[in-house]
Amino acid sequence: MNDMADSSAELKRRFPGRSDQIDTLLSLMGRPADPTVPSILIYGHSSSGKTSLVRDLLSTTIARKQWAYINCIERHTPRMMFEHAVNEWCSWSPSWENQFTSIARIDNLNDFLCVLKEGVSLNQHATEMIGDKETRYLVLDRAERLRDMGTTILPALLRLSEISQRNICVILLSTIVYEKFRTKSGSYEPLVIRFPEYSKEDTLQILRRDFSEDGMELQIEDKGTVHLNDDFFRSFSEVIYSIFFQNCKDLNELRHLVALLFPLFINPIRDGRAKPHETAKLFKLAQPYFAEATDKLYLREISSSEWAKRTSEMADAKTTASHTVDASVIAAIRTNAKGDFDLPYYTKFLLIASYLASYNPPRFDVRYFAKVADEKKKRKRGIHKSASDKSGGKMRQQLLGPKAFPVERMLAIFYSIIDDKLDDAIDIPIQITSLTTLRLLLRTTNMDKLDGAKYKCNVSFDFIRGVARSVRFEIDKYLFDFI
Amino acid sequence: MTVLGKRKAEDASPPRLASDDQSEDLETVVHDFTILETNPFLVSDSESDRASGVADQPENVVSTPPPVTEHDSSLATYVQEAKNSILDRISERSLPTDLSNLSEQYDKLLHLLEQTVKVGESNSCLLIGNRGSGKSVLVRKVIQSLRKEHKDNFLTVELNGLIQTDDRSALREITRQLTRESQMDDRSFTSFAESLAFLLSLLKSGSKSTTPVIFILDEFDLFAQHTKQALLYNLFDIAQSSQNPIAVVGLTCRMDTMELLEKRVKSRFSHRQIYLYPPSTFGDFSSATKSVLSLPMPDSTTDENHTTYIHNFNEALEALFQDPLFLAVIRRIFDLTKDLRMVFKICFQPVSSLSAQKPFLTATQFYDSGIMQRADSKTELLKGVSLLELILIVSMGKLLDRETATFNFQMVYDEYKDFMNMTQASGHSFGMKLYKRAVALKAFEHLQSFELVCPVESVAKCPKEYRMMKIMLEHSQISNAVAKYRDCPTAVKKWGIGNPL
Repeated sequence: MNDMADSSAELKRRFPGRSDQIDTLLSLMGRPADPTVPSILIYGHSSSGKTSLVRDLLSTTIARKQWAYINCIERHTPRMMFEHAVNEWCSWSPSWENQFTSIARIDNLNDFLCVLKEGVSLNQHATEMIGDKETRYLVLDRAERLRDMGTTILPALLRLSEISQRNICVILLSTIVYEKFRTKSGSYEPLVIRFPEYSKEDTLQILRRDFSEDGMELQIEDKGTVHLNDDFFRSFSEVIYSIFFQNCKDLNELRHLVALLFPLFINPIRDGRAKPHETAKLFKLAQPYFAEATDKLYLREISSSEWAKRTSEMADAKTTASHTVDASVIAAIRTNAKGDFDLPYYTKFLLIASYLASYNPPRFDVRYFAKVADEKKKRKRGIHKSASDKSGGKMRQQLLGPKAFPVERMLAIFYSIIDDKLDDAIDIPIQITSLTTLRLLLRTTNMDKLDGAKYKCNVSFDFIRGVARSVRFEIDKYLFDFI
Repeated sequence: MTVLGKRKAEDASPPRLASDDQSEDLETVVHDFTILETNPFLVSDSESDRASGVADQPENVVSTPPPVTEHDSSLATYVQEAKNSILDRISERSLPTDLSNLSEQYDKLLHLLEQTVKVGESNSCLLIGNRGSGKSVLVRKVIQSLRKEHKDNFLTVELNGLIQTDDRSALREITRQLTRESQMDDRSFTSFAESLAFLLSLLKSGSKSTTPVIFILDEFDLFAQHTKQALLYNLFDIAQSSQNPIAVVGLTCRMDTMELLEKRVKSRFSHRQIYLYPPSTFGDFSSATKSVLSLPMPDSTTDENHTTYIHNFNEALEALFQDPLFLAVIRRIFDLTKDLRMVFKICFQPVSSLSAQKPFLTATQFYDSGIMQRADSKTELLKGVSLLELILIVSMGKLLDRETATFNFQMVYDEYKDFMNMTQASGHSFGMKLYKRAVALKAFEHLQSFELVCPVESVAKCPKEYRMMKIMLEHSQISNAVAKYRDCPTAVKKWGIGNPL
């Protein structure tokens, strides 16, 4: 019937750039009563439309009872998975009337196959046979989790139709290639379909979907409304794409950025500072926000709701102080830095000492931290200057990460870097414990060992530099072989 | 599991399917899938309408076939029937007609099981062969011919090592199958010991004249991994010592299955092994493929137009097998794995796309399908990563060249920084900029989610930037990926493919 042609055309319109895959899938499905390939694996990047396409395709072409959709992260045990599948195949949902039970009790693969072979008894009179007439589909999303469910689940599912002698097709969706699914003793290999990445045109077309087709009416300050149409949005999304595509091609990320940056972009129009067709000027005015976006929004250092709140505050502010408002918002966003720690003065030194202990080789301790008298002794001994200060080697400690050190070494360094003598009131072990609780220090030996404890420093170089700056300690002088 | 919509007459359906139908006992023995309404004369109107609607591919018809029929809809039904019968065979739902390269094994197994059924001799044997060499098919065919001859005089129990993962569920399954087949009362057992005792009494009691039971154990090597191999021990014990005739047929793809058996189990086993091999010459291989793809000869009662279509289809198939493009595809599979299943896999798409406009198979379809199935998935996946991720991968490749097999993020970022400095100094860095450490870390984690980069130890003992990783690609894959990347800047391309800048 023309239904099929219509629905396929509709799907192709809704999913640009996926017409080949739609054709392939539709031809593999065939008519409901046809035999189908036992298992299909669809793989592709994240947000390449696998789940949405497969769900839409199945829902528009066959009845809801014929397919079951299971997310393997949500249903992570065999019981949950199979019971849900059978529920969906029988259009049963746990509810108040049936005391929230599933239609059949299935504990493992064995029971599942019994249900498939013998049918599900709906009540005394009716049994529902699954897959004896029309093809039933079992769609497993995030199929890579199936590997962790037990060694026999995945091979059995790949040949489900042969084992159960029913017309069932298993569709696996995953971001991981099939080679990683293979088991030691082999299994039936599924038909592999790849969803390629979207081209730039397709991405822009999908981004444009978020913008309503009739355009948008924008209220300018006491001057009436202006109409923003599709072309305006198109140029905006092109700009966004060209900025971000080098480090991020993920469609969902781009949509997120577009949604949050668009209000800022049209803000100057709202204030009357620019007209809709002056895209270069708009772009220049929005430049600082785009720079922030690369850092904060993309890295999710600031949540989208907070960003939206700040920018809407900005939109409400008056136009006279507009540029200062912009600057202040940016400043506010920037200072929302992570990890604004406030440690006691000496604890900061303790942390610095631990960093130095982790990243400096022990043999240079004497050089850096001992008093001047020992230097003289060394000079007399002569030319034992072994490893010269080579910098930039690939195996330097900065790259390899922190090394474990005994507590005594850290304490020795600590006492040598603080200037004045400590009061005995300060309890150093308690500070060490609190640093460990804050996960700024890591204890590498077991809790059982009471003496000879070793620790490791867990902070990054930027953080420790900030800490050192706050106590006015020049840490760079004491670090060996750092760039 | 009754065959619904039973064919009234065997007229229109090809003789091969008729043999499937004759077996009245449809419980478990003949894997008689409900091969649906392929009889064109019984097809309802709505279905035939739908058939012509499915054939909506607007592609240009490659080769105009000789005019088969005036009616488009009847051609569509013929095509549909052809499609269904071939799909049945490729998806391994129906049995192939000839097992020419397995005739010797077939005879052996048939003889063995016939002894059990006819005379009441207990036997055990093991079928060993690669995946896809035809073990299950052989067993099914043997059972089918036994059913034809002896009808209901024996029972079969089928177990699969993937499904029955421990002895308890295996026992339950055996009880279920036996009691269902022989209409005994349904008893439910609580403990393993009870059910085992019941089963043993059932099987041990009896004499030569009780109904023989044939046990078919698929994935036999998995049964050998149950604790104490209790099930195997008992089955072989019954086969060896008791009067009740049973036959135990194990199917496995592991060549060393005998080593897995315990001494007491092995001694009760008859050590009878039948080895199955894939077709040894290319001629055998291609004729096996041809027999799967060709339509069976119509008998005298088929419609004339239908007969013409079948003839034309088979002729086109002959032509296809002369086509060098097609032969290259098949030859490649034969040279690599000799696995018929891989051929079936690439046949799915061309066969599914048969329609009234394109009623015959062409070589290009197979070629395209073959390309798609054997594409190196990791390189394909790398086509879609962002530029920053690609550069990180190339940096990891460079580290690999320098014999550092494991590395962490800091090292990769360092390498990336060096590269950017180098290109900026030489003025080639057009449009690329050095991204911050945090942004690069996010890209690195994205690569980790694809499992292209895997941590060496499963538990992290240091901050995540310092965790040692290894890359799951090799040098040629990386350079391939860089070469195929769309809009790759020349500097990156040169760096990635290994030429010095």
